[in-house]
Amino acid sequence: MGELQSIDYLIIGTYMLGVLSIGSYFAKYIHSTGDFFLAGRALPFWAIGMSIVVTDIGAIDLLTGAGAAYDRGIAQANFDWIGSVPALLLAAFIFVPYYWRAGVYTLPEFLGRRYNSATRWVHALVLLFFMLATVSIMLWTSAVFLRETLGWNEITAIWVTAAIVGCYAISGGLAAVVMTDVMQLVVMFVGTGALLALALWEVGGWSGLSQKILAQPNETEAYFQLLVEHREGTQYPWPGMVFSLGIIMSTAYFVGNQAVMQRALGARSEWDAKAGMLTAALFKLAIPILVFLPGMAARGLFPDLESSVAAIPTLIDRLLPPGLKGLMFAAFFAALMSSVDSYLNSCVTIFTGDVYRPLHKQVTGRDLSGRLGLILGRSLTAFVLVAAAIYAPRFKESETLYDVLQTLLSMFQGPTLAILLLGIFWRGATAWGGFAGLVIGVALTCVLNILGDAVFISDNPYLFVSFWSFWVSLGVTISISLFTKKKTPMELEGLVYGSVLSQVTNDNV
Amino acid sequence: MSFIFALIETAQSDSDDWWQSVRNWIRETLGPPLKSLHEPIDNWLASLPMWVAVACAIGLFVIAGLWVWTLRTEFIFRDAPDRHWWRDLRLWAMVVLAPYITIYLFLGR
Repeated sequence: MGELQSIDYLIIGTYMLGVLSIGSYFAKYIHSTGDFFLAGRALPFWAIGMSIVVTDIGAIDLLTGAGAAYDRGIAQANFDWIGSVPALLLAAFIFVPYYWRAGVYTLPEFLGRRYNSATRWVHALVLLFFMLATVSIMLWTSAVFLRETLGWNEITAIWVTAAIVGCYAISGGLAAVVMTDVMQLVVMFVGTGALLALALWEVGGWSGLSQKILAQPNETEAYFQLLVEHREGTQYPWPGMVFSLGIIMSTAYFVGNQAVMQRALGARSEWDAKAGMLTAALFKLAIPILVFLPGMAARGLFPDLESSVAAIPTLIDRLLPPGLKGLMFAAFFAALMSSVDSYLNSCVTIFTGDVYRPLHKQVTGRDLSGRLGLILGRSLTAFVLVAAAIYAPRFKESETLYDVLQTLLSMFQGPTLAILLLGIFWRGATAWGGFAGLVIGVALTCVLNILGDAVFISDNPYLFVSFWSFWVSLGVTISISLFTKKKTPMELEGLVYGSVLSQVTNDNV
Repeated sequence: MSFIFALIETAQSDSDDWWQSVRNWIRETLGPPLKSLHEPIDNWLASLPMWVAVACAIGLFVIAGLWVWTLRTEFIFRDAPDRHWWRDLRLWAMVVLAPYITIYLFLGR
């Protein structure tokens, strides 16, 4: 167990101070719910792109993602390469313009307009459950990191992290979150870059790494292959990676994940929103190199670790000199905080916009005022953070948190994408068709996840669960829509493909 | 107080048992028929050579790249500060896709 030196504490302290200062600075620009949840729609493309990447790459990737690369090799990189880029292009050119024109805060709100309130509620509740669980997992990851590196008590680590994140997420809203994300991306890239350089130097470069790993018992060249054969016992078979992750899971993740899409909706223009997505796709190239490659290097250097989660903490402990250790700690906190704050903000946005606001209107007959919405947003951020911190220790028993997170995602990605695609491209999709597609699809994912290796070749079948739930939801939505009442062309204005494109043409004329 | 905790523990243990029996029932009832449906697909996919996998992965990037050129220029430049060539997001997409295609070409298998 390593000790931090004064220089390390100085670097971590400077970083924390910088983050809190940025958060406090942007707090003075928050006057309404629009400012809090969508940064007053003033974000430039570069901030959106950097924020999306750093939101997506959290402490979970840094610890358990690198741990999975330690175990399974370079195939882990698919999650950020083929599992991101085609989807970000689709998001940029199809989905972002639609959400932008519809002028909505959240994706459930969009589904509510296109289908009905029941669809909006179900989707909002599923998303809320996922986000709360994700924040809990992230806080637990922080606890594991601090336990492994500094020997901290897990519960103390959770509450310290929660308190620091809460300080600026509560005060600053989306603008503070995005601008601190920019700083955090830089810190994360510098810290992980230093770790990668030292790890590769120690292991003898790429050739040294491959020699050391291939010399290990039971290890094959598949460790260095992005695409792996489809056979029993393979964790990431290629059809799952290309057809499920590359097309369905990633598209659903980037267009259906409120934490990601909220950044695009906060853009200063539609062009910035699209360009922000493409910037994110470019930055994604570096993530496996900076995050997963150190995990593989740890396999070459320390092949007998008890748990793969210890890969990065071990590298930090054994390789990094004072100063760089502090920088890597700052990078870890950057990865952690950037994701926790984003998910917190999105969680509260969904609760306020899709659960509380409709209820408030129904009960009082009035819309939620900007000031009340703001107070509610800030109080809820604190409440969600506390709830997630209380729930976090329950993940102690989970062996691979990366797989837990992917399994949680697979429980709504396929059905969400199916009803989104049909809602945008097919005028015939009806309110109850969309609702049935979502509910039956989510129920199916639960059953398929339970079936697991009884049906699929992999122990963690989330790749196949998403694939099949997408097609079943598509079929259910089409079938029910054929027998239920369709919306009028007036009701579909600005919500389906044809009407959005005609808006572009008319504006230019 | 300890009585209440003991009661909660018993309830939790009962619900765990109930959940386990539901899981077992689903696996025993639905597992075999669904496995027999999925197995032929698994066998067919396992028989494909790995160059097919690489071709499918690269094909995904190439199709995405070709698709963006089918979009209208008005749509691409909408809300842009000006119409300089460097604001053409179709070119941005090409810059983004090129390194990924290269990586999958060399590290795909």
